[in-house]
Amino acid sequence: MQNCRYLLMPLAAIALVSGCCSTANNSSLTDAYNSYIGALTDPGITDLAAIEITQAGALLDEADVALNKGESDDAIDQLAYLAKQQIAIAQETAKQKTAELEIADAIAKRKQIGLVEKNAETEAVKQQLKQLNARKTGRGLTITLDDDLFRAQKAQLKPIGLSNVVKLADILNQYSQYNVSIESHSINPGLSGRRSYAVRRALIGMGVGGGRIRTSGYADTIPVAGTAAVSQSNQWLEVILSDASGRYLSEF
Amino acid sequence: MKQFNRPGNIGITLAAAIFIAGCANIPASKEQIAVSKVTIDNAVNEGSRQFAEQQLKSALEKIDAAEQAIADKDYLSARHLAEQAQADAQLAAAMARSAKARKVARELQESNLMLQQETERNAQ
Repeated sequence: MQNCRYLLMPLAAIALVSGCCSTANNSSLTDAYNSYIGALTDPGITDLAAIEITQAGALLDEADVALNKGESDDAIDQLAYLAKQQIAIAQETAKQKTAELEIADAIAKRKQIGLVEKNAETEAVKQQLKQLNARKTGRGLTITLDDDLFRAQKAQLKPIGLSNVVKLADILNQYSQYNVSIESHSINPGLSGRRSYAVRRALIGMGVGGGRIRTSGYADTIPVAGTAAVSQSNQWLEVILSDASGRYLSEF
Repeated sequence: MKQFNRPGNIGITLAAAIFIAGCANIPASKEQIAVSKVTIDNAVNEGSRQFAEQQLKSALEKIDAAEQAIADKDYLSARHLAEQAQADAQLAAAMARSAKARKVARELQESNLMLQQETERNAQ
């Protein structure tokens, strides 16, 4: 039906033009009619600037009436000019509406790209967290640095431990909305505190803002649910990820 | 009605009719000029100086010419010129609106393209 309408409108216009035998006597009116017929064959105009093109049609009708009444060339030229400008207005309106539809499309597409981007980011974070053996615990996403990542009874990270901290720093540098809490569990509270600070210092050295890192050292006074008690052979350090407001993250 | 058909009165009647029509055209022309000026202001506000310079210039020239025609007591020309000025200004405003919309659309499409390329690079 849409197609039929586009075909019929110019045909109706042609019928109108040919029905009025005297249009040929006024060249400006003939020109205006030709532009009008051209505009009617453009679905963009009939769809998006229907009101504007109808107004142009009304001016042409008025010009026809004037011509048939034998009014002066001046009067007819005037109406033909106004009709010509009105057709141009319809064309510009159609262009404007088309651009507005493109704007709406572009905004929708932007959201789509943002979504893809966000998914890709989430996927990248998941991958990095997986490499660090991050796991969900009752307190949030937790990365454990085992005792053997530290030198025995020292607060110095071994190269392999350091490489884990590098990965952690990488995540934190990429996603500034996340903060960390570092909790060391050792048999000796002094060692716990020093290990937490060693990781903190390493993260700061890798560009993570100190304000995002909380540290605490525990002796065996706080056993973690589901884990064996702290002992000489069972010491560890936990890195718990939270968002900026301090809530623990359960997932990304 | 019959008395108007008398030949001697035709000239007077015609002159009176033209005079009355002429008088009626004075306020009509002035009113049209006022309306056209508002339309021109709107077109300027839409940014037609930047996007439809020629159409705006045409409207301004015609409104000047219309005022001159009023001064010359050519009220029909004044009304015609003012009407054309209004149509030109309306076109200027429509052109400015469409140019602005197209500009925004183009900018958004370009920035989407850049964003998409960046996303694709990041994904690799």
